[in-house]
Amino acid sequence: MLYVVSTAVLPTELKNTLKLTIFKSDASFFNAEQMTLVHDIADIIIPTTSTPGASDSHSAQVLDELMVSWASKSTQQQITSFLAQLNEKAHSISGQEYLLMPRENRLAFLTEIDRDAFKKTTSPFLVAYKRFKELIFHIHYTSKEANTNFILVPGGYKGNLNWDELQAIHKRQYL
Amino acid sequence: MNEEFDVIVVGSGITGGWAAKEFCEKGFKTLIIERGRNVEHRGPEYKDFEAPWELQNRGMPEEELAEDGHYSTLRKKGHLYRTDALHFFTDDKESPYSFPENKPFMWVRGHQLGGRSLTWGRQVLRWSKKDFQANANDGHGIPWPIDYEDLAPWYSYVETFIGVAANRDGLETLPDGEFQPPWEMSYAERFISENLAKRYKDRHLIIGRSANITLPTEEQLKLGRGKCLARSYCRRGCSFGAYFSTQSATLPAAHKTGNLTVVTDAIVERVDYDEKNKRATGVTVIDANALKRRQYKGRAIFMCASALGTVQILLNSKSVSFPNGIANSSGALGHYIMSHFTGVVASGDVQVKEDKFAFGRRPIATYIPNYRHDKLADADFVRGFGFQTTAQHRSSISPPAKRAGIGIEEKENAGKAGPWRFSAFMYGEILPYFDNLATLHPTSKDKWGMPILHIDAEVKENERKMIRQAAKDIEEMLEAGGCSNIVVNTTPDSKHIPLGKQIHEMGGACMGSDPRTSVLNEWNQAHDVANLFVTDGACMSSSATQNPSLTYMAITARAANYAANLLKKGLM
Repeated sequence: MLYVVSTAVLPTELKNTLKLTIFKSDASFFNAEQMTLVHDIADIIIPTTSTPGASDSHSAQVLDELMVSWASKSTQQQITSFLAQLNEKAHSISGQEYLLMPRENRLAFLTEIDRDAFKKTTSPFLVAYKRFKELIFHIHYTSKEANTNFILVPGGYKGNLNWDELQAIHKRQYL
Repeated sequence: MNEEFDVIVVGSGITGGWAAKEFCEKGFKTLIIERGRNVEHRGPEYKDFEAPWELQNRGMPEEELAEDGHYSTLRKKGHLYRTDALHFFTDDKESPYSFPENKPFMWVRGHQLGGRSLTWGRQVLRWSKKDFQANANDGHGIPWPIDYEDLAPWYSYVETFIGVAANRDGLETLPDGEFQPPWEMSYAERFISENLAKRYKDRHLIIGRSANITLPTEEQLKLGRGKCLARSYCRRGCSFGAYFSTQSATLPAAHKTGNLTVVTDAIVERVDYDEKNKRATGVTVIDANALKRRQYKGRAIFMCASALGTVQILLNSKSVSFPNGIANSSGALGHYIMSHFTGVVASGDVQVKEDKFAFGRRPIATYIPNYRHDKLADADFVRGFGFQTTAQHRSSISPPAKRAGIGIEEKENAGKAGPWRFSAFMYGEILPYFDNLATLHPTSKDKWGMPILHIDAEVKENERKMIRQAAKDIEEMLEAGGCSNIVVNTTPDSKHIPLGKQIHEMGGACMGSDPRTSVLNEWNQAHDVANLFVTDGACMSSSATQNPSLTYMAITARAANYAANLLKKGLM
């Protein structure tokens, strides 16, 4: 049974309270509600701080694309089941659907799942969470937004630089 | 089609390119036959200008490939199984091979023009006198019919052309050559190197010797090759032509002569043999797409199809005179299969002040050459091992993708510079065992109708003893080098070590002076068939510990020069 809330019809006031980014239309693989969920989980596990987070690197949108171009049917099934189960678990614990929980409660809820997932477990839900998390991290940390210091053509290698020298090289983007 | 050439070169990888270049430059009409597709230099298959976010599927191959059993060998290599260069590796579902169930062998191939020269590790190390004399000294394998002095001028010849960035280290066990300016060691690597020098006379940490140009010569510039710009995306193909490959160097040089013909998508099924004249007459190929057979005629045949690829073709070249494969009167064809192996991986934090950093992606590691050629008092084995090592950059705190942790604090920590961490991978010399063997599978054929190769090879007690010693040695060296938090992982005796994993497979058509025990003479010429030469890894009589490609290239250039003289004199 799915408990995904119809986020598109949430009142604006509630959206602001929940600090949610609502997707109103279906994406390539995920539907609108699933996209909202994926985006929110990604944004909580890799939040925007002084540096870009998963929402800045469009991790949810990239995951949606990868579900079509990269994922096998079993992975597609695993991820969609995970999203549905996440809501079920949220409902059973708090009596609320995940997306209707305040952001701090969503963070606490995911923190607990994260902690349990990296204990020895065979729970399909927790195994699926680990997979989901790994994908979001891979997407974010291979993104342009998360690699502001990446230089495609360094021009050479130096292995004995002090901090100021390193910063000067990064500033001019070439050795 | 029944075309005739002076020389037919089978395979277009690192040795095939050299053979073609040498013969073309000497004026011979040369045909190079490649079983895979054409790959254009700087063509669309090169992915060297793609940032991480631009790679197909962010570098992850489609999951269905694995689920359908594709690339089973490459997937075990881990870091090579990525979309940036997957297309330069062979799918063993399409080109299968077999091995005993309890002895998996990893045969990593590259079926395309340029072969594995597009994806090789570029560590170019000369062998030493001790390496060429090892078989004769301890009685294992077939004694080499050549010594270091025979090959030294050819090493120089090859190094000058390919461009080798290296330091002149003055080591007897790793002779110096024709070098361009070396890559720089990191602060931490230098620290360890200096500490080891204080402690040992025979153990050295040096910068690797890299086939990446640091100061292009006029010849290299004319071929369109430029200086390496430290991207370290070499295996994607290099649009600057900065690392040596068939595409960047030997093929353009050969093409310039007007003597080269390249045929791709043609799988050599067999070397054809004229019983009456006792000569190879050419090769029969199977069109990889149309599946039709055709023949090419040549006065001399150079086998450069990679060690095991060449063995497969020779074993399949059966005739009345050679019912067990051409040039196999000795019965040695397919025997003495070797490969470097590792069984020890170690690392430690380098105890230096953490105020230094590195920039750029150096395309080569550091190296501890074999220091155990001679049987020392503490050794219960023969031959030795070295270590491929690195501390190129400071370590950094990895994001918690595979461990617990989410949120702001974890994110702020991720990527922060950690200590310099030095890693070392043992590279051991396997003995040439007669019963490490490649044969044609009695019943299984690939989709082109070629019998698949069955590879039955393993490390034995001598190599296990080496692993135990290497674990002790590297722990001691990391301590002496100034490391803490040392971790040494050793492969237990009970665990199979898959040969081939280092992609340094060798042997199967070894050189030797005695036609009764070896396949090739001192010029890489088949004892049995005077116009048939083997100059790829199959010719090796022992494996030493050094990465072998430079030696293959030098041997190829030397053999080509010899064969060219015979051709000029009308002796072939």
